[in-house]
Amino acid sequence: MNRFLRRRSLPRLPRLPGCARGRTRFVVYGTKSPGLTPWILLGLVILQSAGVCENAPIASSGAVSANAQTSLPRLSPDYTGIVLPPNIAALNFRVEEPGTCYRVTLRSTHGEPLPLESRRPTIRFPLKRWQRLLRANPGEPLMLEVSVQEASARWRSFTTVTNLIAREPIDRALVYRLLKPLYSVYQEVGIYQRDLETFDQRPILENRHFNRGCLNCHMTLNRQPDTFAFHIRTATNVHPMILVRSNATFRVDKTLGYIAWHPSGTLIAYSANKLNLFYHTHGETRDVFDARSDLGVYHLDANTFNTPAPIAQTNRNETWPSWSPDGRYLYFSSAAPQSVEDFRQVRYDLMREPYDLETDRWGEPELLLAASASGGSATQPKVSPDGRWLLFCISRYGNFPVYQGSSDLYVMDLATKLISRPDINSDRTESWHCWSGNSRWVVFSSKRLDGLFSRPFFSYVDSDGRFHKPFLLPQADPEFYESYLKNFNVPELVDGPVVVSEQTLADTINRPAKRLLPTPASSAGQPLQPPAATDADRSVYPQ
Amino acid sequence: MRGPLKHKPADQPPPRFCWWCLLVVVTFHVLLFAYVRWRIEPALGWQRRGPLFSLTVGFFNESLKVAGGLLDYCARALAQLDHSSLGGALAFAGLASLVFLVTRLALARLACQVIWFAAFLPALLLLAVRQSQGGQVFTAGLGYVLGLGLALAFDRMPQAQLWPRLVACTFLSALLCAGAGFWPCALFVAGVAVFGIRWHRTWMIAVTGLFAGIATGIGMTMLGGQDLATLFNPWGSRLQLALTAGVFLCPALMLLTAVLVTRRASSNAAKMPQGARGVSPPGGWNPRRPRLVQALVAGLIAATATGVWSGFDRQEHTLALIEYAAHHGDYPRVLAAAATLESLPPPAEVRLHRALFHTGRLLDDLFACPNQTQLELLPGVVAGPEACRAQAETLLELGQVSEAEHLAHEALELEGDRPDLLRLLAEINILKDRPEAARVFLGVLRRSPNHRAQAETLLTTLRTDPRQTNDARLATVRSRLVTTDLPHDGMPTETLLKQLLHSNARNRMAFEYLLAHYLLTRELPRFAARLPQTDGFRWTSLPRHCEEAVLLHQRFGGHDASLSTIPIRAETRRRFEEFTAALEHGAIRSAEGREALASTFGGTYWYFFLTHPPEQTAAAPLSK
Repeated sequence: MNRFLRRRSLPRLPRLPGCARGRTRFVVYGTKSPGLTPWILLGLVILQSAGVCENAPIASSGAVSANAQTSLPRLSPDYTGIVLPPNIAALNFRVEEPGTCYRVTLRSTHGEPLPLESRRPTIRFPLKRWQRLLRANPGEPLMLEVSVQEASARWRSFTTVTNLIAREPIDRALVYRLLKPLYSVYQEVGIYQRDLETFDQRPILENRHFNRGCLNCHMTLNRQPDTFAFHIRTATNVHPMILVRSNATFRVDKTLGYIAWHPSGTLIAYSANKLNLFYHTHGETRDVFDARSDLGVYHLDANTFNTPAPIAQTNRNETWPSWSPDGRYLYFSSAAPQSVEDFRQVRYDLMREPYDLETDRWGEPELLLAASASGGSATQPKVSPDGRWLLFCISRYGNFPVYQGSSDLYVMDLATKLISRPDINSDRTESWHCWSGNSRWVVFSSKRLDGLFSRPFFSYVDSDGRFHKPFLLPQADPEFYESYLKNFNVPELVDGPVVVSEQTLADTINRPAKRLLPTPASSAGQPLQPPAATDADRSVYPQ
Repeated sequence: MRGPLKHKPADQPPPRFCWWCLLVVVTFHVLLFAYVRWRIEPALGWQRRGPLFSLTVGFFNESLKVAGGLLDYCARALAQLDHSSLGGALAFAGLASLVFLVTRLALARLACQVIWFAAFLPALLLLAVRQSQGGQVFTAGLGYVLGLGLALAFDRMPQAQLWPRLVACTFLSALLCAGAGFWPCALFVAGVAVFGIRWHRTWMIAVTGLFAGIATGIGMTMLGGQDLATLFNPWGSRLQLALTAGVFLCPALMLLTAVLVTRRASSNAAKMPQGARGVSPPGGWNPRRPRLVQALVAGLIAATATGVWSGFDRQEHTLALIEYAAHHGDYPRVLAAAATLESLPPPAEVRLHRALFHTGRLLDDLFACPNQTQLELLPGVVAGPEACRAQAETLLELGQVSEAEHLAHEALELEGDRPDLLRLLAEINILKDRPEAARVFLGVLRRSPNHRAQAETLLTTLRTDPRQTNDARLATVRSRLVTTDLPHDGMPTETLLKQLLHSNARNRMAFEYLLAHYLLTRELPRFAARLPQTDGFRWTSLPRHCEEAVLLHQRFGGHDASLSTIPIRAETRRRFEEFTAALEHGAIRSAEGREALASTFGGTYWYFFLTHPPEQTAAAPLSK
């Protein structure tokens, strides 16, 4: 026992003989509890040797740079040269450099450095110490020193990785849908929320609660966790919207498509689409054709809906509605209808429509970006909460960017109407973007890692509208994405955890206490008749 | 509730060692092993179910979320031995031995040595579960051993006051229900009850345990958001429920009967003279009754064994064999197995077509398999998840890699992370130049103990050769890949096959499938238009069905011109003349005539053409 206690009480390690001899030393600092028996310590040593437990903190002075490298270490996920929120969970990674032992030291301007050592290349930071370090250093650089012991026992050090801790935090929760790359059948679909400060993920609703139906895109009101809506598709051909207002749940028996909350919380703009899923034999396998679509507005308090002519023109297909943060404009995509054979010619313009909530009047439509000018199809417009930037997708054609490998994110400065292509795109699909509440962060889905699976990436947007290098949503296991078969679909930043229970939502679907059947608003033009749901409609899974 | 427990009587004298008993037991288990190894063949069921077991903390934690998850995890681990029939048979024989042993001990505990062989009964029922192709046999077996074994151990605990035993029973029941599920918990409680009644004249402990177990199970089920029915029926199918419930109820009923008999015997014992012949446990058996009981138990065992033997689902076994053989490329075995079935479901039919092609018999014997039901080469998604998987393999081999991806993903969603699907999707992504995506599928496959080595090897080679250029199978498929796009909905078989030939005119598989498709859809003009392309494949003779179709087309289509440079054999011409003569004599108009036609020309394309009306297909390309 004394031997163990002596080792535990060592203040620092002058050298790392454990690694040199092929063993891992595990030293617990600050542990004064006499309750730790040698057996527990022995167990920890065994676990550590097996690479089960977190990497052991070590004394940083032990690193001996025998062979300094001028290159950055290769990390997976790539967490080099990024700007990260001060409240993000630990960015665990794997060192993609060959070696027998790995040392990593994380340091910033304030606070204690965080040194780690591992025989395995996977590096997992202790969450509490990570959080402490980041919180103490907003606006400061975060430096990562990596050294690897080669087979010859020489240590190789790399250029220090310098990241920047932003001053502005990111919203606490990320809500997304998890589903496999689906085609026409589905078994497991769910909406989940992830605490971005930790690795905690919880289901908001899984489809096993309503007979394996489908869950569609979710949308919160101003990133509030207590007010949101989403659609479901049931086996009984009923596709209601589930509405949560101040944590009170309602089932709205009306099929809506893509939805957008008006910032006032009294309206939801929606699209009614007639979508067809079809397939290619070359390139991206799936594709979607929107044969007909219009926009409509659902008035929540009156439980009525209408289809104002300016956003439901008979000679145009309008879709992807999105409100400006002040509620004075509705942004959307618009294209002339085409036959399905000409699906490659379908290109959407980017439009906006002024709206006055007080008088419920629409203004003249404004063309923001013509397809002829962009050469592509502009979809999924999203305005930053500060009203300055408009982020949207441009793909070669079509209305469904996530199935388009050509889809990239573009940003428009709404003050100057100038458009630029931020340097956050890859040669693969980027789509499903969302702004943080402070307009400093963007999350989006990208297939850049493998071309098949959508993964959530974050990018810092500074006050000049510059987008910084995106980084992947961190996971407790750095190798998580290397064996995860589900897409992170429609990631949305939310200002706190959703508290309405899964059971309540399931009950609202299966045994609704409050059931709403919207009626057409008589004073507001002709009601929109959404096309009848078809098999093809049910088979579309935005992911 | 009673006061302090009565002390149990002195233990029974240990049963006398009996050589012939040992011989019977060993023979029984050897027979069990042989039955499982050579009749059931666990590897077939394993291939059919395709269970993926991951040696990961996440997978283990997922298991713990439901009542009985821990036992299920252990059972799944054990079920990995089914990967080979030998391993699966050994594992089952071992499990059956444990089941036999605990049952034997339970019977001994109740002084029922005279019917010790009743312990064969649960093992036989377990065999019924095994052969019902359910993957629950290890869950049931381990649960049985755990439940009854724990009851025996509990009964051996020191006889203290009532309360400590009550608390211990409650705790164990809750623990058992949480870790092993409802049925092992129920068996434990039943065991405690029976032993309690027999020795202590109390059943209150068991009742308390039962309530604790059920409360725990319900609590876990509700908290886990599971349907309450899954607590009592975690196996899903009714057959599995009935069989597994039979395994668990069997010892409970047996022990209860034994208790009743021995109690009655005990009461009779006082009236009996000492030293009566026969086995005499404490309390003593009626000397005439043991024989009767023995005969009854023996009869029951014989009936169960007969039921197990006759309950063997030959159809299911053959389907599993077809799947297994097709997966391992043993196509002659696929054909041999398919020939034994009366009707083929779509997945087996798809595999049959592939086997016919690989044995060079697609255009010779396609219509010699009258047990086909779909008569479609690629029935599409509507044929179900297993057919999707089977078609994905065919489509990949043909060169339609995107369509293979489509169907493989449909199957993946419905059938789960099956190892064969993961491997297939990895290959698809390699062919689509997405090696990183292939790595994700292999990353999942790597977690499975049985596939770790294979996945690791692939992952290693992917690092150095992302296109896997040294893989002969992938190289073949790569040479067949479509080079153009064909937007489509559904499964337009003809267009997909024509597109393949447009991309590679030497794609023999696509060519033969296209001809077969024309024959199946009775499109003889299109068949005739395509047939001259056989010259590119250096055929020395026309396949039988092609000859038959040519003759049919020439006779009834009014096309006398030769369709191929390869002459039609005289034998085929002669038979065709016989066929037309039979038709002219009105063979089709009478039942006898049709029977005669079927017996003489049943395997010919002529007979198929005559008896199968054409059907329309809805699938079509979106654009040309």
